Amino acid sequence: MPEVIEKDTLIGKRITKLDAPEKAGGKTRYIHDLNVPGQLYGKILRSSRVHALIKKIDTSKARALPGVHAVITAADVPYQRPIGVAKDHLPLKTDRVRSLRDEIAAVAAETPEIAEAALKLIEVEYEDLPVLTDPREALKPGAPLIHPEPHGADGKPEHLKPGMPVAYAGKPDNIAMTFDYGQGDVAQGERESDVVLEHTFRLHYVTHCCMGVSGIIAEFDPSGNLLMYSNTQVPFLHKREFAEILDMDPARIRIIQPPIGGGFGSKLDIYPFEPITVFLAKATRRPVKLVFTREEEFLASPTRQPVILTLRSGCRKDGTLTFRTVETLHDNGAYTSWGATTPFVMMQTISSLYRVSHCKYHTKAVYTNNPYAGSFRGYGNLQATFAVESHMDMLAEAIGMDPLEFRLKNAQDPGEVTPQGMHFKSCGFKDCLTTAARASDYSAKRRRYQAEQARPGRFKRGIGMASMLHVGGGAKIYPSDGCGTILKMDDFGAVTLLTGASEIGQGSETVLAQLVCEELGVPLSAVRVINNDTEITPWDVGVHASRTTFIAGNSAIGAARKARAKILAAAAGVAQMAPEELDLRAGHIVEARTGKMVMSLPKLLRQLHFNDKAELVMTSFYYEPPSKHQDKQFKGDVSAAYAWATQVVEVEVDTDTGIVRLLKVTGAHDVGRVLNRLGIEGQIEGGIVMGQGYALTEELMVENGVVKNPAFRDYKLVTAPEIPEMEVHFIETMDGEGPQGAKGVGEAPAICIAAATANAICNATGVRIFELPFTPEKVYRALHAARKEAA
Amino acid sequence: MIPPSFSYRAPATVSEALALLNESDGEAKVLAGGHSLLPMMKFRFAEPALLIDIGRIPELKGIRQVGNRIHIGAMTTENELLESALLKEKCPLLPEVVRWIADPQVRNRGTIGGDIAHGDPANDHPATMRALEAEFVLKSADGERVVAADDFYLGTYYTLLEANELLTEIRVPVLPPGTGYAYKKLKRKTGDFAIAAACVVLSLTGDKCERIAITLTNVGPTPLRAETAEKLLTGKAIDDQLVEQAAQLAMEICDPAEDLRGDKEYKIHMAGEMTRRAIREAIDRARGRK
Repeated sequence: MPEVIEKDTLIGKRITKLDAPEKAGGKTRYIHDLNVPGQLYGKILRSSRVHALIKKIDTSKARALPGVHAVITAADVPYQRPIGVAKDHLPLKTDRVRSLRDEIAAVAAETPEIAEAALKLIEVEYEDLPVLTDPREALKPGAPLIHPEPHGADGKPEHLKPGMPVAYAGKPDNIAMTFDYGQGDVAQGERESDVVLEHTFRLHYVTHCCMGVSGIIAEFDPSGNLLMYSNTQVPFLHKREFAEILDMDPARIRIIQPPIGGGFGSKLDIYPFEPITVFLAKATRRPVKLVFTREEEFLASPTRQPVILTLRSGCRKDGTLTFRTVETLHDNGAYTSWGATTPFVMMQTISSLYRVSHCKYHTKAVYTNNPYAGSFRGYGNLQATFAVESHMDMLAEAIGMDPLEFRLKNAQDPGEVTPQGMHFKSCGFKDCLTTAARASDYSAKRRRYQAEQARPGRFKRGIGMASMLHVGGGAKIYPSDGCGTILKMDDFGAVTLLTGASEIGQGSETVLAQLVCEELGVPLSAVRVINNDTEITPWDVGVHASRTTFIAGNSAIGAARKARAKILAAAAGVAQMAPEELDLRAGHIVEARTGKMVMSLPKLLRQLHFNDKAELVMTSFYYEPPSKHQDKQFKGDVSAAYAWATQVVEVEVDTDTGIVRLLKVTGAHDVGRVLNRLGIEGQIEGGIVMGQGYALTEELMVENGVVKNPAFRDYKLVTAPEIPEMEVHFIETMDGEGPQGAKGVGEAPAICIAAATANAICNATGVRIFELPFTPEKVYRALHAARKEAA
Repeated sequence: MIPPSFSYRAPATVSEALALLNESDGEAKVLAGGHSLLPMMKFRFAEPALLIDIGRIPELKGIRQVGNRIHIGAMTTENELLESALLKEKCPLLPEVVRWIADPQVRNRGTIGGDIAHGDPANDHPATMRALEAEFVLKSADGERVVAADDFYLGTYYTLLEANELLTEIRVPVLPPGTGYAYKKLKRKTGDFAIAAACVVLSLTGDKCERIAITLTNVGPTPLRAETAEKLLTGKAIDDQLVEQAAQLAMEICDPAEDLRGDKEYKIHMAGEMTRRAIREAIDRARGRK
């Protein structure tokens, strides 16, 4: 070690993720790899009807099968409570099934094979009900009602104990939720408009396709404490929800998260298989493990919210946006999960991505007999951005303005407080627009490709852009938006960071470790991150809303700074210097000005440990970022910071077959500041590919309530050969509240691709497509319909 | 999904395999690469009592030239076809087709015999085999017969192969110099089955088309041979107008099933487009332009 240590930083460097060696080496123990002594295997019998009354369930043959330890139906768990965002959903269905994924019975057996065989022996008698699978039909008079009866517990109000959550009451119509937002006066906006456009956009079902399928192990100890090995993204909130569902004391519930094989929002809600596994563990007094098959994952995990969206918008000839009116219809599916609440995010894009004085937004989320939609990276923003950014190009064309210039004219600036109440303290939107446009040669290429549309030739090229606004500093949707940290240092200079924030593959533990290193001047190898056990880690509201780096990062920095202050104060005493004159670098205490080594950090720590005042355990909570709940009119500054991005997509369209190839994606992302360059590049590239799948190849095909393609053979994810060249630029706006200036980026990169691709296809061919995904057949038909029209 | 229970045998020789097939009285399935059979078993579309794994029979592997034919063992994997110097030189159409099959992982396990014998019109080898006028060696405990690929396909998952027979060898011609060939496959993305594909093998004398085979993948219950289109082009100098007419004739014989890849109309149009492209490329190759 040299006598002088220069100041160094890990911030902005390319840091390999801490869990990379074990994941790349195939050593990670996912839920699939975990087994508990004495464990049984759970399986669920799902409905074979889309909508029906359950007349009779006969489990006698299944119970008689050797190796079967329990067969349960709703009748065996009269204590069960409704689950989900609207509490409209019993884990095991009582009198009726409302979709093909509905859970009717469950088995715990010695082996998965016996459990599977037992399912086949359960006899169910149904009486079919009229099926409702078109959300547009749901609102019509005489439409079949999906939740006509009260349900919950066993459906009998007298069985509900005081203090228990009230059972779901049933609905006189099929409307699950409505959302209304307004700013200004859209009629006035329309009067001020030179151009008004109205179009309907149709957004389809896709699903997360996590590499690790859903799974859980549940067990009770002899004292009645419940332990769950669970893939949830929100362990602390789930403790509370499980307590309600099971009528248990939340303090007796512990959740351990094994490494999670992908989340993307899918693990934000409680799904029936989780309480059902707990019921089985309770019934058998044995640990029970339930892991989905891939087919089950397609059939019974949530989808992205499908939306029918009608957008009417206008502008003046000078390019000023005047108004936007949006009506959306959300197909909720049979039950309500987070998908129904995506309007929270959609309306932000509609009201505040660009400055637009007059806005009106209305959503109805309706019940149908389809699969139900949950939360999915981007949370409604892919859908809203698809419509808004398609219209931005169309409005620009209608007034003869360059689409980039049109966007720049209406783009938000730093300091803006939007009519919806969002305050853009840091905002690199215009930098994103100009950087992405310059790097992709957008304007010149757009003009050239447009001019080449009429030329003969099978291949056409096009370029298109889209931008996005998303929360980047947490999202105040729960009573708190906080995260706790405990940091302890041992007498060898090693740091253990216990954080409430879950790692779901996004790389948060690496970033948190880096932030701690920055404060404590220790190498990355000295930091361990513990983040997977509710008994050990402090409280957090979960991985969602691109919040972990921002919220958990600030929390970790808080704890690390406390430790730093303590160490420097102690070192100052030993060295007879003022704490401000000292710094921590490379595991040493140094003179801040010169970098001259004063003493080694481990040595000082050992001295402190033998000193009764040491207390080298720090806690910090970052409970309240400076953000505000929305009021009843959906107005409020819900995030402490907002992320911005522009992505430019260049495509090649084979006009004879309809095949669209992405050639290049150029992105410019306002991320506040780059913390781990390797991690953020991976996050953005992964998000682009997810957006590409949404735009081009992925579709969960649901026909009459039946998922037609529950396998990767027919549900097509993008794979390596289709991935375009990607060029990513970072706009570092150094957010004042962000950890080291950073903002959230988790969801951002997936949001723009579909919209930018739509604009690029239009630039290539002159044809605008309003419906996703852009499959070869759909594109071919659109091109040929346009040709016929022209002829 | 877990397949129902079954017995499993892995014979070491063809004669052992044939004896097992003979004894099983139609209750057995032959396991080659498993990419089609195992998913079918998981989904319970196939519930064989016995699985005969022919993956450990050395005599079913290998590529060798015998006179003007190339004999390919049924258990030769797709990647082995792809890497074969002999095929590259003597029947380059075959490795070209293999490139379009699934993805490298699948091609490591998937076999030419499995692809052919499964009888799935979506597979890529069947149409190629018809265009090449290949022959298949079918063995049983009673003996051996050699059948033409042209006669082999009777319907979807339905071929000449009897329950006690094993496809042991595929025989394709050595393509004479100057043979034009092409396989044009349209798929939604890498790894997918064809929306439609066309295979063309032709030879020219001067400008005239001396002989041509045009076959189609995944647009009917079996691989299709566009005989009327072949007749139209045979003996003629093929120009754009003839290509167009041939494509129209090929489209007329298509009867695809509507599925996630498209409806009938789109698939038929794409079969026409692939036919156009395949004929053009085959001609270019015959003329040494490509």
